[in-house]
Amino acid sequence: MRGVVVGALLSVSLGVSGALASDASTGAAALLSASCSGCHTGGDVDTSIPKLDGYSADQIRDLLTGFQTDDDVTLMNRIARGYTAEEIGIIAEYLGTKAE
Amino acid sequence: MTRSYALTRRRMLAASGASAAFAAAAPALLASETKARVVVVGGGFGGATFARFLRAADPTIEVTLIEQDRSYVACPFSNLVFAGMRELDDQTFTYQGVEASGVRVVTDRAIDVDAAGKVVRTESSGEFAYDRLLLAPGIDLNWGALPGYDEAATEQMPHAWKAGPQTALLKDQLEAMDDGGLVVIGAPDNPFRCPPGPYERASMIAHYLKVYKPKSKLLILDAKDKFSKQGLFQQGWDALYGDMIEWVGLSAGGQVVSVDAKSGTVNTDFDSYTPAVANIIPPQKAGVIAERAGVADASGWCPIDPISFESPLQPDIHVLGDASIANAMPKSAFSANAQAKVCAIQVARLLNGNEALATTLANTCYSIIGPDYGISIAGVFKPDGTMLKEVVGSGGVSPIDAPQQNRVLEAQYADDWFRIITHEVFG
Repeated sequence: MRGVVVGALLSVSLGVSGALASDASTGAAALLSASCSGCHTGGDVDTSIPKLDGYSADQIRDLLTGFQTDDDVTLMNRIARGYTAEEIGIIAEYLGTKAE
Repeated sequence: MTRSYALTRRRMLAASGASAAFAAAAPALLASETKARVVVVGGGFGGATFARFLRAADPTIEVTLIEQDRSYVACPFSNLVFAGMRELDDQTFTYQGVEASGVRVVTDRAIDVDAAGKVVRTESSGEFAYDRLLLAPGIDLNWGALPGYDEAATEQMPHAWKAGPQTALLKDQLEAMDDGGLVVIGAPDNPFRCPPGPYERASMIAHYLKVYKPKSKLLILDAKDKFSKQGLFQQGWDALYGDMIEWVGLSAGGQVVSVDAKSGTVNTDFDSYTPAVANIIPPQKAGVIAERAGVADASGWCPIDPISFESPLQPDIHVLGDASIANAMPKSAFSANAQAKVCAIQVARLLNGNEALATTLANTCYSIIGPDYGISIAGVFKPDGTMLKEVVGSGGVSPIDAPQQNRVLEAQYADDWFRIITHEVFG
């Protein structure tokens, strides 16, 4: 896995260094997290659906893991059950607010 | 001018004798001279999302969006227009936000694709060469599949399955109807755009009838024996509309087999109806440009690679959204948007010499049964061979025994979702 990622990054830097918005924005984590923003905006839309900005990676990981066995939510349990623990970790790291 | 981006890049690297270190030190040179051209046909939830996200993923790629209409009328939530809960204006979006993302928007109709020459031909704006093409044309009606239902018939018996004038026409017909009239909805067999759509529509029309024309009746004539979120819809209909809505499935003789628009007749194998209002939702297929490009198969829809959304029938053409055969993933706006974000990253990767990466996608579809009464279906999907398959143990519909508070919340979330996703798609 690690080797694949390094290889991908290398060929990105060979081909377009600086052209892609960032390596992270076209990597596995960006792909896995792409569906989330269909409901969870980080922008200025007024919404009762929780926004993702302001959550740390640990918080997102705990929330998604908890949803897998929580039947008191509307639908995030049905979504969270589709992801492995590893995938949840990758999504959490990608979407979580980075500590300064 | 249909040079290959990959070739160009290799040539540049060779000519400059570039090593990895040199390339990294000269981004401006490469960025300005190695532009790839991507053309997008169709400015809906799939195409507009793809165009914006591709620009975000790699600003050196030149993205042209060809869309025949100056504004887009969104289908999701357009059923609420019939209930008087929304205006058609609330469904309408311009392409200013898409242009502001650096996408060139061409208002014209794409009429042909030369897949070998890698060129899209338009009605009046000439030809557009591409390195990769994204087709997101949505649906077209499958004329001829339902005897008697042709373009002229849509003026008498609106389908309203593309939001806009057809939506307004159906609403006008409902408003012109006398109390006590019969409304028929003809629902098609799978696959079709928005599987829960006909039943949400029945709910929204019933809400209007209950308030303004309570002696009326709504009959759903269906070409299948079960439908999306069926238990939840029927529970909601019982609770909110009593016996106003009657559903007749395929094996009870519900399939509409022909219509006669002049006399206003809707025929099944066993009965003929002359309703006051007939909303005929006919069989569908991928938008016709898909056929012209050679990416539709005998079914009328477009097979895709489940990782890159590239057509197995034509190299360098990707298809997503309602036009594609995404297997377990339904034909919904949410699916199209999620697929588009994934496909934009994959196309950026491919144009930069990287492989597409298998990933996981999600879908959520809300339906409104009445004010403060929402339900949902969700799913998570992974590539498996040539298919997109639902992850075992995930997804499903709102629990049938959920507390009423969940229906209230899901109606609110549905409203929020529409504003969030349209903001993401159109800016």
